[in-house]
Amino acid sequence: MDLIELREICKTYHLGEVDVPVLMGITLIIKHGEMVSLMGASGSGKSTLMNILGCLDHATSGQYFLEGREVSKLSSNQRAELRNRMIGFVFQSFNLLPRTSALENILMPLEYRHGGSRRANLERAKDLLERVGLGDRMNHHPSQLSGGQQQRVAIARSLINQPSILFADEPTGNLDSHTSAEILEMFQKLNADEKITILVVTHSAEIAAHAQRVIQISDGRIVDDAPSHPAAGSLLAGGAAAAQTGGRAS
Amino acid sequence: MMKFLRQIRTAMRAMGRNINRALLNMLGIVIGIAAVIAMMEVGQGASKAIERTISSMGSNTLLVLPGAAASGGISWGTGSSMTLTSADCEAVTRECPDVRQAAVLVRTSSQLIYGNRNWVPNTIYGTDPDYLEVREWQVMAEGEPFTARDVRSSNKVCVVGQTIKRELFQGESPVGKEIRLKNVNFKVLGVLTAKGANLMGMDQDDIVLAPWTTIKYRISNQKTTGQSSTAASSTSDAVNTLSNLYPTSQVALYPDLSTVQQADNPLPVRFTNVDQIILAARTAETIPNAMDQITSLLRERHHLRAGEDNDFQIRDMTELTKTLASTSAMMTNLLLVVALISLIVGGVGIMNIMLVSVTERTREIGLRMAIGARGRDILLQFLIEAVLLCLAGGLLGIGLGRGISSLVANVLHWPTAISLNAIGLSVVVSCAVGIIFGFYPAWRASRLDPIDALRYE
Repeated sequence: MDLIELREICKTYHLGEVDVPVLMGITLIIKHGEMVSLMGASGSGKSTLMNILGCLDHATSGQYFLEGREVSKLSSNQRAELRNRMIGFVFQSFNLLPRTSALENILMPLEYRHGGSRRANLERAKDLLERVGLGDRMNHHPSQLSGGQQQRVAIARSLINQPSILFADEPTGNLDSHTSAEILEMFQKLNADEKITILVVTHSAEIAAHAQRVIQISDGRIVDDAPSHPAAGSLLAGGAAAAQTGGRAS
Repeated sequence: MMKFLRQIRTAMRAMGRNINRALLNMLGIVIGIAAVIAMMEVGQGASKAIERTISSMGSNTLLVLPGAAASGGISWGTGSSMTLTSADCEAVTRECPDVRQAAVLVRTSSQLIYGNRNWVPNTIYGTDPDYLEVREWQVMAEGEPFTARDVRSSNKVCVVGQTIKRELFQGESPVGKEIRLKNVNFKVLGVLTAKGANLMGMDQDDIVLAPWTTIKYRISNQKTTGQSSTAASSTSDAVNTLSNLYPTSQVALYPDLSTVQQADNPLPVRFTNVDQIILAARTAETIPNAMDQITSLLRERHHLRAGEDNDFQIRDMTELTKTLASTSAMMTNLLLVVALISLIVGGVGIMNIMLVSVTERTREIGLRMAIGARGRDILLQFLIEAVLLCLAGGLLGIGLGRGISSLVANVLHWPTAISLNAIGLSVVVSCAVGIIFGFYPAWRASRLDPIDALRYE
């Protein structure tokens, strides 16, 4: 069974009298263990697609199967539970809780999940922090960490619930090129070592090239879906640092 | 249950993250509750003081009068029966639990003479020292009251009111001086504090109090011992003169006893009846009980059979009692209104700051939702935060309010009373305020769209 299957997903925003179609028939399959990047210019609909894939939003029409489950029919509470158990998010602006230690930040998703002893959870969180290389920063607050470190805490947080898939929305958008490379390497490592499916949303070809597969989206349609050219991965441009995420079409 | 505990922990952690904000949040409710507690305590003290003032006017006072005697179909009116005794008074004090204090009264009216001045006081009461307590008049302006011992030995002592001091002594201290009352010399032991006019406009300071035994046996109107001097004058004045339009002294029907005859025939009867018993109930509420207790006790003591009429009457000060009741009801309502207003102010403050807090934490809410929090979880988290804040604020407020009221008590010397009701009420109310005023912001938070919330700047 495929991890994600989209069939003819359409999304239309209603702005007053005007209907703005953002996604126009997206059909897509993502298998377990893939590392995919979703590329597109601002306003191409890639953020909307990611919100739908991440169960934050639902499609106007079409079907979305996540591990064989039809997601578009679920209520918002069921989707919240699905997000909690199966999906990890990494955001461009990290979104860590301020004035809260790295460890507590990582433990936060567990507040919405039943079961698991506190001690076992704590062990897992520590283990994850070690894996992202911040074992010595457990009690630091976000303001005491660099951008790259904050993003690594965010990655650890997204992994605490052992999700099937990780969505990264412009994960390097606020980072300099050197740190960006580190973060991308970490994604690649997680994908290679732990077979976690990762979907990176970006508008930069250099970053997209780190994935095994690049899906190009433009004006609400998939225009290209091909394996990446590994050579491009080493040519990370400094310009990526100033990148801004594409806004929702409006 | 576990889930709820976890929610509380989440809310605590969220508050702990920003202590300043939490404290500011609390401030509104702290001030609200403190105002309530302080108002209630100071107000209750004031209300107690007012009640005490009114009851010193005699709202708790009951009067027991002897009933009407009748002979041959002719009634002699209230107070003519001679069945009420000082022993009744003692028994009432001893055996009626709702009676705080009782005193006998023997009334007389006469001219007072001091030096070359004279004065007829409004009231001359023969009583016992408990009278001052019944009237809540214990504090003396000068000197001291007479004692139970003076009553036992019919000592010729008295205390006088402010008017007597002014009229008879022209403002000098009367303590230690002697005044004459029907040719008996009374030593003035003390001066009462000013009480002013009573509700009828009668000057209550125009009063002389003496041991009732002295008044009763030494100078009362009924002659218990013949007095040759007055008797002699009455016979000599029996001849009508033009100047004596209204003969005041009774014409003696029988020739007076000579001194020798008097010595041979002492009047054997010493009536121990008193004119009134004045008594104070413990509180205004216990007056009906006290009246029942007195009635049954006196009926028993006077050997009245069932069906026989009472040979006494009990009067209460209904008007005053009503005034007292309505005054305290008014005070209570006033305090309640003030308390409510300050709580609403505190609650609106909480709501405002919670709304600001929701706006400020939009991204956090978005993140929590993306990570798997349901709308309900967010609602509960903010609601618990609000309730915890209000509870903590309520506790702080109770402390602060107690502090304020004891400060008022110490600095302004106002009477304050701890109000357990107010404390219990404010704990309950602070929770309620938290839920009511925390609900709207929490509901707003729970309705946020995670996508918009995450993108909120």
